[in-house]
Parts: sequence; structure tokens; C-alpha cells
Amino acid sequence: MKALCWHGKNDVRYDTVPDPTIEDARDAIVNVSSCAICGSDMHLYDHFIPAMKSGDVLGHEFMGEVMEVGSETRNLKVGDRIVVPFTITCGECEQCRRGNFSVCERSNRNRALADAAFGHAGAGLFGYSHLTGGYAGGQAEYVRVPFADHTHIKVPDTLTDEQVLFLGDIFPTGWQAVVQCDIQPTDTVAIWGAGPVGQFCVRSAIMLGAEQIIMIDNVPERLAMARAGGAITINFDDESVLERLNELTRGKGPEKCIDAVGLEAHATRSLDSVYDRVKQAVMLESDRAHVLREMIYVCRPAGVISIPGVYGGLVDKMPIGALMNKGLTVRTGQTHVKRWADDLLARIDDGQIDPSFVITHSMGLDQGPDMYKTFREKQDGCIKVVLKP
Amino acid sequence: MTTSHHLSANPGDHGGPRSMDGNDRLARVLGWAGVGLGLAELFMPGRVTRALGVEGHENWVRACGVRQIVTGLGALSDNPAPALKLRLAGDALDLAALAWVRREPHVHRSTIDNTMLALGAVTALEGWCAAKLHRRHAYMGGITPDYSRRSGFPKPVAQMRGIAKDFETPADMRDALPMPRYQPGEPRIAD
Repeated sequence: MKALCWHGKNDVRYDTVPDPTIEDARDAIVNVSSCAICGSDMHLYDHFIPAMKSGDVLGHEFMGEVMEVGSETRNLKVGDRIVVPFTITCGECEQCRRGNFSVCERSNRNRALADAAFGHAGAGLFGYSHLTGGYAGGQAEYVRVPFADHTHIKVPDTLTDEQVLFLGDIFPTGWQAVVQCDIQPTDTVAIWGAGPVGQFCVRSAIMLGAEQIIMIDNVPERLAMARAGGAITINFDDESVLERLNELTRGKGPEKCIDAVGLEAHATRSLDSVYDRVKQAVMLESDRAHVLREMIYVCRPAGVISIPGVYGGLVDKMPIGALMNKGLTVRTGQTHVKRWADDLLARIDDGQIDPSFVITHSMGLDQGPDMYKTFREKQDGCIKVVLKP
Repeated sequence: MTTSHHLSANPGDHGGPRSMDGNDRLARVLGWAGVGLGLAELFMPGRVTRALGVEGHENWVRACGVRQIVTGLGALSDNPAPALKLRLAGDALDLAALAWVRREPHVHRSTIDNTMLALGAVTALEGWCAAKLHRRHAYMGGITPDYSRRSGFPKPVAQMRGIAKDFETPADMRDALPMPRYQPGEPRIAD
């Protein structure tokens, strides 16, 4: 089959690789109809996530038709149309029973490696390094889905791929980021990063009734899309984030702050960004933490910091004094996709939102290597790429 | 779970289209070459000055080494174009300096000539590579697409605010927050 494979920093190739097969009774093989390039794939592309191997199949946002099932995959049958959550979940362990699906205790088959890196392992993820199980990803013609009897979202034929594909990651990721802020009708929510997850944070905050939503970025068309969704925007190239946030909140600061950027913050004119760039270049720091520092600084005391953006390793110069003295609550984690998927699917089906608004590029899978570059460089107005195998 | 031959690191044909083109690879080569040359200049400046016949200028060579390392690392980054331009400027300075010292009677002119020839070729490569990569990394050429109608909502935003009020925040994401929850009648920012 054809697949997009990682071969090193900035080196993604359209390769021919062996077809997947059923290996466990709870497996299914999915014939992929649509997949997407996620912002967090850029961290792999730029090689900031460790434990990648040359030839790894990329991709964790995908959907398609079930073409084969294992003997114990009883609630799926050949022909079912499913979206596959990026977090692989058994549905039976203690964490899954609590709804903490992204820290499933059984799905990461490289637990020892992840335990060594993080203390205790999280769930297995598709196409996201050997730290998260080393599972082949979904930017491919076919994918083996482990624990498929639980790791799926059945979707009706009445909705298009473009409407439901993002149930596997970015829509529930934006939703969870906002939900874990416990939105109140008086809340100001500040969101850093107008990429796809940031866009879904804006829509989620609107749907959950936040009074004021502020998007911080410097890419004009992304800010325009955020404004279309109901956000006030701050272009950090043009104005001071701190001053503008204070102006919009009567000097108190936003009580809910969301980092939808992660480890590759691109603030170009701040001293700490230069510092992070240099330290990252000489491998003294793995993640650039400008957004985290700024959020902690501007957040209203007793506020909430929500972090859906992906971080992979170590940061330094964290303003722990401000975090502690302001009594901030930090909530973070990979997304518990299965916890939100049914509710969000119902809202899409009900017409409350059409997630396809975020798609700017739709191509064949063979165009994937070029689209990684286009997305990486934010060329051609690229915000979200959907690929068709 | 069983182990898998579909653990990635797949065997197969890896000769298809790829994201990394010749310019990216050239930038890497130039970057590593810069780092290597810089380390040599930094730690073995005496050898460089002896070869050129300009003994006594070891600190100047060390400074060039630091510059080579910094710009070389930059050329290895995700956007190598600015570092390549800096390398270009540095190489031009080096060429000018070599042309200047070449007039001195005690220098090894043939070594300097060969160095200038090699440096000239590398400078041309860096210029060509920087121009190609600058075009790719230059943001949008000033064109901004219009996404101002992409709300994702079927109705105006004002009508969609709070459409998911029926959603109840799970207890584990609601409890233990230090900020009190909203009480009806509480003033808003707009009040």
C-alpha cells in the first residue's frame, strides 16, 4: 500500500509499504477514505518528538470503512464507516473506566520506553513515535486499528467525510481544552494559536457560552478565520498582548487561557523566544515555551491555564513564582476523544456546527510530502490539509 | 497486544515523492560544513594562520570560527535562509580580508588563491541556496486569502453563543477550581 512515511527532519516521503494485517482478536483493518495533516504532525516533521524511526508511517487523523475485523471485535462489522480516535483505548482499564482515555493503561505497547521518559506511560497513539506505541499511522491506504472494538466512532452516511473527520482529533481537542476551563457566561477566554485546534477552541467557547473570546496569533488569514468564528483578535506583531488583554478585561486579565500552540512557539520579537531558539538549536532545551510563560503572566489570579498544545520534553525559565502566587490551575493532557465524540457527533448531525469550515486544502495522498511543506511554511493560506488515499 | 511487523520503520519502496528537496539537502551540507570549519578555526587557529602565512592573527581566526559555528547551526534549523544570508555576508568579508592580506609580502599567495577560489564557490552556492529557500519561506508574497466567512456555524455567531448550554461540564473538570462559578445576575464585562 501507499503511505506517508517519516525519514528524518523535514523528510516525509510517499512510500510503498507492506499492507497491515490482523494481529490481535480485537483488531480491525480500515480502508482509509480521508486523513489529515495535524498541527502536531509538524512536531514530528521538525523532529522535536523523540523516538521516531526512519520509515514510520505518519498520521493520526483518519477515517474510512472497516474491511476486516478480528474474532473478538464484535461491535464492528465489515463495511462500517468509522472515524478513528487518535488515542488508542482499551475501554476496560481503570483510566478508561474513568473516562481518562488518553492515559489508557493498556494500549501503549512500548510502556517501558514511555515510563522511562515520562515516569508513567500514556495511551498508545497512531503514527506518533515509538514513545506512544510505535503504531503505524493513518496517512495511508489502510490502517490496523488495535482495540478496534473500542477505538472507533461510528458515523452515519448522511454526513460527509469532511464534516466528521475531525471528530478523531482536532474538534474534541479544542472542545476538551475549553471544557476543562469550566466556561462561565462571564468568562473571557484567551487562546494562543489560530491553527486548527485554536479555531475549534474559538467555536467551542462560543457554543459553551463564553462572553468574550480573544485569539492571539500573527497570521492574518488565521486571525480572519478566528474573527469569523466570534473571536476578538490580537496580532502580536502589531500590538502588545498584555496591554490589549488588560484593555479588554478592565485590567484584570482573562480568567481562562488556552495554549493551542505547543512546543514550537513562533513569537518573533520577544527575548525569551530568541533564548528558546538558541537553546533548542544546541539541544539544551527541547520545547519553546513562550506561550506558556505569557499565559501564566497575563492570566487573572485564580484563573485556569488549559494546555491542549503538544509538548514533548523539557522547557526552562518557567515563571513558577507567578503560577504559584496567582493560584492558577493548570489543566492539560492529550484528548479523551471517546469522552466527547458522541456528543459532538450529535451536534454536527444537529447542524450546530460544520467542522469542514477549517479545510483549506484537499489533495491526493501522493501530494502529502508537498503539503507538509506548504502547511509548515503557512503558504497558500494553508490552515488544514485533508488527504485522499 | 502482540508485537508487529507493522510497527513502523517499514520495509518497502521509499523512492516516491519527498518533502525534502535538493535545496534543503544543500543547506544541511553547508550547515554541517560551516560547523566543521568553525570548530577547526576555533580550536586549531595556528594551523590556519601558518597555512596562509598570516601568523599572529589567531584570535581573528577564532572569531571567524565562532561565526561559522553560529551561522552553520542556523543553516541546520527549520528555516535556514536567514542563516545562509548571514553566511553569505561573512564569506564576503572573508574574501575581502584575504584579498587584503594577499598584498603582504610574507603570505603564502598560492594557498590564499586556492582558499579564495574555494570560498568563492561556496559563497556562490550559499547565495543560490539562500535565494531558493527564501522564496519558499517568504510568507505568502503579501497575498492574504479571505477566510472571513468561514465561521463553521449555520447562523450568525451571536445566535450560536451558548448553543451547547445543555452540555454539563464533567465533575472532574469542574470541581476544585478556585474561582467561583457564575451566579445569575452577576455583572458582565459589557455592563
